[in-house]
Amino acid sequence: MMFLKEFKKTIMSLTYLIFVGILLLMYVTQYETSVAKIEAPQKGLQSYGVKYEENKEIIIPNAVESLYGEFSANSYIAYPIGFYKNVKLGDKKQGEMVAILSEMTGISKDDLMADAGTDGAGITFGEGDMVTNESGEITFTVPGEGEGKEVLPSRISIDQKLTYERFRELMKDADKLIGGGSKYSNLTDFGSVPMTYEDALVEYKAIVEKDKITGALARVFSDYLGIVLSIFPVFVAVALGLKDRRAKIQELLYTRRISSFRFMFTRYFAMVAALFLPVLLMALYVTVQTANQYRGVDIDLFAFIKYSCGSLLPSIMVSAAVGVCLTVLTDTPIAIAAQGIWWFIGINMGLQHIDGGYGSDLVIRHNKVGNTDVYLDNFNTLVINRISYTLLAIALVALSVWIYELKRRGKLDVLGSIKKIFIHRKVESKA
Amino acid sequence: MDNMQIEISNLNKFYGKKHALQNINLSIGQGMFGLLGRNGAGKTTLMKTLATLLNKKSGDITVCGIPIQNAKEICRITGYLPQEFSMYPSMKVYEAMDYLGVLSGLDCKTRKGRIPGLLEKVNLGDHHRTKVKALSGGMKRRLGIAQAILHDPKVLIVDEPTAGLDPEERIRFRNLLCELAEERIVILSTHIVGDIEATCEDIAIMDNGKLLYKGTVKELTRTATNKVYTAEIARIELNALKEKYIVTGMLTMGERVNVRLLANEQPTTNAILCEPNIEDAYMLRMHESGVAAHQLGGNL
Amino acid sequence: MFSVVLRKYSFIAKSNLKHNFLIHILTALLLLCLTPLLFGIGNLDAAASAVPLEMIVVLLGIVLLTPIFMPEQQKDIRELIETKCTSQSGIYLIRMITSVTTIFIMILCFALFMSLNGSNFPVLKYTIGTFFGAFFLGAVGVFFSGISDNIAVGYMVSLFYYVFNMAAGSKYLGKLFLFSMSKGSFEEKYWLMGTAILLVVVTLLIQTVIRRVR
Repeated sequence: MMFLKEFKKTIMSLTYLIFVGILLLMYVTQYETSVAKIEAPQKGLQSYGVKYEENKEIIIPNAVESLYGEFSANSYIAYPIGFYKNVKLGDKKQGEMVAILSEMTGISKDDLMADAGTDGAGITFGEGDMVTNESGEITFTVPGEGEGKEVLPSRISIDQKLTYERFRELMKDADKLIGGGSKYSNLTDFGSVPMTYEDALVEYKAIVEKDKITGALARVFSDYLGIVLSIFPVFVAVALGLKDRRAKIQELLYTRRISSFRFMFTRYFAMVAALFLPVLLMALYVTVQTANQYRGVDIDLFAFIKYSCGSLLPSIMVSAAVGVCLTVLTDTPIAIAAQGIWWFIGINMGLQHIDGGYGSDLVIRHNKVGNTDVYLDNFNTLVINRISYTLLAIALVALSVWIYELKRRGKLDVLGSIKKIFIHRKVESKA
Repeated sequence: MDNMQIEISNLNKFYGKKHALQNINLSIGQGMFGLLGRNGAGKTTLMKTLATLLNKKSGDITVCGIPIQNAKEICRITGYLPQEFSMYPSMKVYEAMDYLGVLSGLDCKTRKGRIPGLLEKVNLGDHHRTKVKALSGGMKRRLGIAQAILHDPKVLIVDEPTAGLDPEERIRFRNLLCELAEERIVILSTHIVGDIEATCEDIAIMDNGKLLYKGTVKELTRTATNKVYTAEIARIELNALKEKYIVTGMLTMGERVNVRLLANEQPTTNAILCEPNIEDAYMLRMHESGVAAHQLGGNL
Repeated sequence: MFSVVLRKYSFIAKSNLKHNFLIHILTALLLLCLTPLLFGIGNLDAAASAVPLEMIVVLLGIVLLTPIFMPEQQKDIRELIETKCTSQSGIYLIRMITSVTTIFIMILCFALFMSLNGSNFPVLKYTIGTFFGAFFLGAVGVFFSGISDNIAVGYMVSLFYYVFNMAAGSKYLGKLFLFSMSKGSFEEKYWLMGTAILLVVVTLLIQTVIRRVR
C-alpha cells in the first residue's frame, strides 16, 4: 500500500516528468542516430577500419618517434583523468627524459638536446590555428605567408639492442615523468594496423553469434542512457525529500509509529521502481523495433532488458541513494552538487575506455557497436563493478535509515551542530 | 487621525471553481476586530486579500481611504503577521528586523531608533543575537508581531495569532494586541472563541466563504438569550441528549453529568436557563446558518 | 532620492550576500579549485585554453545564478517579504546583479590564473565568452526554477542542457551551442547572451503576472 502511494508520489512529481523527457531526448537524439543496420562486410572495400595489435615491429618505432617529437617541443599531451592536459617538463625531468630517449635510440644525449633547439621542433603556424571538427578532421589555417615554419627533427633510429621488455619499462618511466595518462601509458595504441576483410568478418561473426545482434546494440543503448541515469535520479530524490520539508510534514513523519527501516526502504524502492519504469518501457520498445528490423535473424529478444537491469539499474540506484542519503542528512539540495561532481569526474574517467573496458567506473561506457570480445574479456570486471555499486546504494540507504532514526529521536541536527561549533569558536575567540 | 476605516463591499474571490469569498460586505473601524470561523471558512483568504497577497475577483476595498489596487501604498500602512511566521533561518533576530525594516522603506536612523524598543516590548530584548531558527514557536510569533509593527502601520492584520502557544504566552500575546489596538485597526482571525471574547468588541463570523454575522460581541451574545440551559443528568442519558441538542459544555461528576446546551424550549424538567456566553451564541449562529447538525453535534 | 534607493538596495545586497549567497560562493570556489585537478590549465594554446573554461568554469552560472529564488522557497517567508513595500522583482534583480558580477569576476580571475601559468589566449575575449555561456546556463536555471517554483527543476534543466551539449554537440543546438570557443567560433556567445537576457526578463514578467492574478 505504502509502496504504491510512494510510487505514485514519485510519478506525479515535476522532476520525474523532466527526467522522463531527458531519457526520451537522449534516446531519440543519441541512440537512434548512432546505430545503423548491422550487415556482413562486403569484399573488396578500400577500408575496414583499423585495429590495434601488440606488434613490436610497429609499436616501437611509432612510439619512440612520437616521444621524440613531444620531447623536442617539450609539450606532452596527457589525459590524467580523461581530460586533455598539456604537460611541460622542467629541466630536471627533461634531463631524465633525454636519458630514456638516448637509451632507446642509441643517439647521445647531447645530440638529442641539440636537436631540441630553442626554437623547438615541430610545426609552427604563425598566427594560424588548428581546429578539430566533430568527425575528427583537422583543419589548419595559416594566415600570413612565410610566418609558418617547419623544423623537423633529424631522423630517429632505434637502437638494435633494445628489447621489447626494456622498451616497455622505459616507456613506463616516461609516462611517469609526464605524470601519468600520457600516450605511452597504453602502448597498443601505437600498434594500429588496417583491418582486413577477414578481420571485419570475425568482428561481424562475433556480433551475430555471441551477441545475437541485440547484445551489441543494447551496449550502446546502455551507454547513452547510462550517462543520464547516473546523475538525474538524484534530482528526483532531492526534490521529493525537500518537499517533505517544505510541506512541514517532516515532524509528522518523525513521530509516526512506523519503523524507519520499512519507511525509508519502501520509499526508496518505490522511487527506484518509478525511475526504472521508463527505461524498461524504452527497452521493450527498442526490442520490438529491432525485432522488426532484423526479421528472420536469430536475435536475443531479452538483451535490452538484461542490459537495462544489469547495467542501468545499479546506476539509478546509486544516484537515487546519494540523493536520499544527503537530503536526509542535511535537508539541503547539497546532494545535487555531490553527485554532480562525482558524475563529472566519473564520466571523464570513463572516456579512457569509452569503447569498453569498464574498471571501477560509475558510468559504464561502451560507445561502439561491437567490440564483443572486449566486452566478454572484461565481463567479470563489469559484474563486480555493478554488484559493488548496487551494494553501495543499499548501504547508503541503510545509512539514511540510521540518520533518520537519530533525527527522529532528536539526537541529530547537522546544521545545528555545525552552528554550535562556530558559536563555540566565537566564544573562545572572545575570551 | 484622518480616515481610520476599512471598507469592503461586494468582495468575491475564487480558487478555481471554489467560491472562496462570497459577496463580503464589511466595515472595520479603529480598535480590535475579530474574525471568527472554522478552519477553511475563508478567514485567511480575506486577510491575505487585505494584505495584498491575493487579488480579488470583484468588489471594492479601501483601506483608510486608499483603494486596494494601490498595493504599494497599502503595504506602507499595513502590517501583516502570517499564520506561520518564518524568516531566513540564518539571520539573527536583530538582523531580521533590520532587513525587514529596510524592505519597508525605513531609513537607518528610524530603524536604529525603533528596533530595540520593539524587541523589548515583545520580550525579545535579550535575544538580539539569537538566530531565527533557534527561536521557539512563541518567540517566533513575537518576533513576527514586532516586525509587523516596525513601520508603525495604521492597520495590523494577524492571522491565527495564538495557535500553538501555551496559555501563558497566549494571554501575553492578546494583551499586546489590545495595547496596539489603542491607536490602530487590528484585525485578528481565530477559530478559538475565547481569544475573541477576551479582546474584541467588534467581530464577524465567517463560514464557507460567507459572512454569517457582523456586529458587537454583546449583540451576538444577546441573540442566545433564553436559549441556553444547564441541566444535571445521568451519564447514560448523555448520548440521547447529545443527539437531540447542541451541547456546548459538560462537566462529569461521577455518574452524573452537568451539561450546558442550546435549546428553544426547556429540554429536561430540571434544566435551568442561564446567561449565554459568546461560545453559545457562536454555535447558535452556525446552526441557524444551516451548518449541518452532525458537524455541530446536535439540533435545538 | 537616488541615494536613498541606492543605500536601500546595497543593504539588501549585503544582507543577501551574507545569509543567502555565501554557501553558493563556497561551492563555486570548490568547483574552481577542482578544475586544475581535472584539466591542464597551463601551457595551453588558444583552442585548448577554451576547454577548461567552457567545460567547467562555465558551470559557475548554474551554481551562482540558478538559486536566486531559493531563499523564498518556503512559502511563509515569501508571503512575509511580499507584504513589504519593496518590490519582489527588485530584490531578485539585486541578487541577479550580485550573482552575475561574482560570476564575471571569478571567470576573469581564473582566466588570468591560466594566463599566468603560461596558457596563451586572449584573456578578455575568452572571459567574456565564458561569461556569456555561464550567464546563459544560469538563466536557464532561473527560468525553470522561477516558473515551476521548484529549485531542483532549475538545476536539473540547466545541467541537462550542459550534458546535452556534451553528448549531442552543436548538431541540435545551432547558435545556442555552449562549447563553440573550443571549436574556434565566437558568434554563438552573443546568441547565448541575448537568449539569457530574454529568459531572465520573461521569468520576472511571468512572476509579476502570477502575483497580479493570484
